[in-house]
Amino acid sequence: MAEDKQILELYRSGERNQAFNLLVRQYGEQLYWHIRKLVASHEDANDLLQNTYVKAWNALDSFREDSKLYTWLYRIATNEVLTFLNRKKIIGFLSINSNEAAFERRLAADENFNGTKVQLSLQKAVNKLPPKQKVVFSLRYWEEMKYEDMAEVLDTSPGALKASYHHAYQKVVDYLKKDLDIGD
Amino acid sequence: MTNNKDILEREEFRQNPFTAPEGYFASLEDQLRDKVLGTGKRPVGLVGVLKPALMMVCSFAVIIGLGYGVLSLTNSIGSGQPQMSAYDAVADAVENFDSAMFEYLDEYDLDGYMAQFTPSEEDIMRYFATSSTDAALYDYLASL
Repeated sequence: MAEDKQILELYRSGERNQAFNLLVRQYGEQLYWHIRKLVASHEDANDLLQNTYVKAWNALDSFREDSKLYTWLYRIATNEVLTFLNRKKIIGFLSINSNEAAFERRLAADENFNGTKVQLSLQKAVNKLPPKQKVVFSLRYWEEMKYEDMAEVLDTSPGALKASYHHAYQKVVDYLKKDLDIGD
Repeated sequence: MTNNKDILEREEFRQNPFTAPEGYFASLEDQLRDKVLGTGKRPVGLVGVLKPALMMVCSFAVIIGLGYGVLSLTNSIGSGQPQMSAYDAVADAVENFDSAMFEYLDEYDLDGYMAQFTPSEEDIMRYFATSSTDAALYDYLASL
């Protein structure tokens, strides 16, 4: 991509501020939505986006262009999200409150969530998936990312990702069927 | 009959139900710049190193002074002996403590102690070689 080349050229020629501005303009919003769809809360998404940029900026020197800049950034963001979701899973496991009920309550009270009943049901279904399957589902279903790019982001083979997406998709359909009371 | 597999093909599910707070993306660049380019560690100055120790010394001086004052007041009650006023007692205690502290500091090798916190030229070069921001360098140079 022309912008990626420009960002790297600016960075390497010492025009760091310009390189940074372009990096945010080019990918900031896209990365925010990638994270937001996985963590649901705006505050968490904002924190994780900041962490992503801190890590990416500090590691940009070592970026060797073996992959695309955008898949490299997605990889950093996804690792941040997976660490966050796994930590949250442990905390949820230790909590006496039901994870699902807490998630639903939080979404219902969130002024930045304007979903319909069926959209809320889909969020609940996706929230029940294991963290990595959740990422696979989100990248493929909402972001329509190619399996080859997903393989770079998640460091897995496209074949394994297709299988994982199929499992996740089926789980989500089963949940929706039950939650929305849709018969055969 | 609805094929359950097709349920996720509904357009409604594909739409994004989330919104971002108003003006969030307009300020994102500034917010991230502050966070990312402002993360360089600043060298800690002499005041920064001594501040905790000085605060501790002051706290001890106040505690000892107050304790001495209370004890003096308590001892003077009921005794016919003329006693120092509480104010004098506190003032003396603080003065004694200060002079003891200065004597201690005179004997103590403060320069040697501080030398361990002073970075060598090599440390400074290593810091800037690993630091990812020019801002940190400008801040440091400005602080000289």
